[in-house]
Amino acid sequence: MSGPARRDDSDQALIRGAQAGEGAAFEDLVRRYYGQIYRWAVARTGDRDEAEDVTQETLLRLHRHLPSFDGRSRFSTWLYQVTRSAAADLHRKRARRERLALRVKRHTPVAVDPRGDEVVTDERRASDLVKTFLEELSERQREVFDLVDLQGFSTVDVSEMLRMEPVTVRSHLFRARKAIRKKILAARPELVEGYGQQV
Amino acid sequence: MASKCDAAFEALLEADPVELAGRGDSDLAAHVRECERCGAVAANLLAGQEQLAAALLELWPRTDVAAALQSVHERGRRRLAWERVSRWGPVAAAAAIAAAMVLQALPAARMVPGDRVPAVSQAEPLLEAPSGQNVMVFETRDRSAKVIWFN
Repeated sequence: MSGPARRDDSDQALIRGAQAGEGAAFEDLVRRYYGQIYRWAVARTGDRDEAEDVTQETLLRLHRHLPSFDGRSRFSTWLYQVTRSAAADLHRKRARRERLALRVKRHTPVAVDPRGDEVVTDERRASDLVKTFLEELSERQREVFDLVDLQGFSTVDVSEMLRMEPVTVRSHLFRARKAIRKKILAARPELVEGYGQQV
Repeated sequence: MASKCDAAFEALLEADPVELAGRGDSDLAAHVRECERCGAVAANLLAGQEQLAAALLELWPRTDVAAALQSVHERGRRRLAWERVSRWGPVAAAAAIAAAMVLQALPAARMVPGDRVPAVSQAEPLLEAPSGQNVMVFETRDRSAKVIWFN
């Protein structure tokens, strides 16, 4: 938890600058949170392409709404809310588009990634791993697990971020952990031999 | 011992990472420290989660941050332009409607080129809208024509 909190403290000058209209401060703030927003979006949507769109929309909303950030909540908490809201809106739009696309099937050319093959392969491996572990979880379980176990937020922080009772957060967290850990152990069956209830 | 390990195994599936690491003074953390078998399971779970966290950290948007920022600035400018249009558009439309109403009310049929447009007869409005409203009505010399003023 100390990680996210420390970063919030050092964000203050950038936030104040960006709110005062300093372009450089806004850009530094974006650089600082760009990857984070994307990973939140991946954990939230479970889909990298959708996460790209969510990230872009979040930056736009950050640009528009940063002047209204009053500092009552932590910046990362506020930014997470912005990301969630962007994800929810884009998900609705995407679902509508997909319904339309089912009616009008069109050929879409495959996008070529401009980066090198090696980077893409490493990322693909990472992406597959994330997908394997997270795909069977519900959206809420994915979010809670990512925020608490992978990013180090406390369950109290997460209950504020997701506007959820702490007990509900813990319930989602336990279900997520159980599902993920069963998958981890499924790769090592020898470890669980002899236990009363096996995976 | 077996039943203790069975209970520990169940608990390990939901435990906090610090307990998986055998840290802290909970019964489960103590068992993880003492029992080799459960300790191995806990270590494996912890390693799996760390691998997942590392994989997530490796993911990075395909659009680089400079391009993303440029797009934000461009879309921000477009939005601002659209907001201006949507803010002043209705005002311009209302003014156009008011002008059209005035022109329609003029006795066009009786007018020939060179005729003077009936002037407003009174400086004072006939009807003044209550405070907070922004409509006034004037009467012209031509009784069939009224001027409605939107401010």
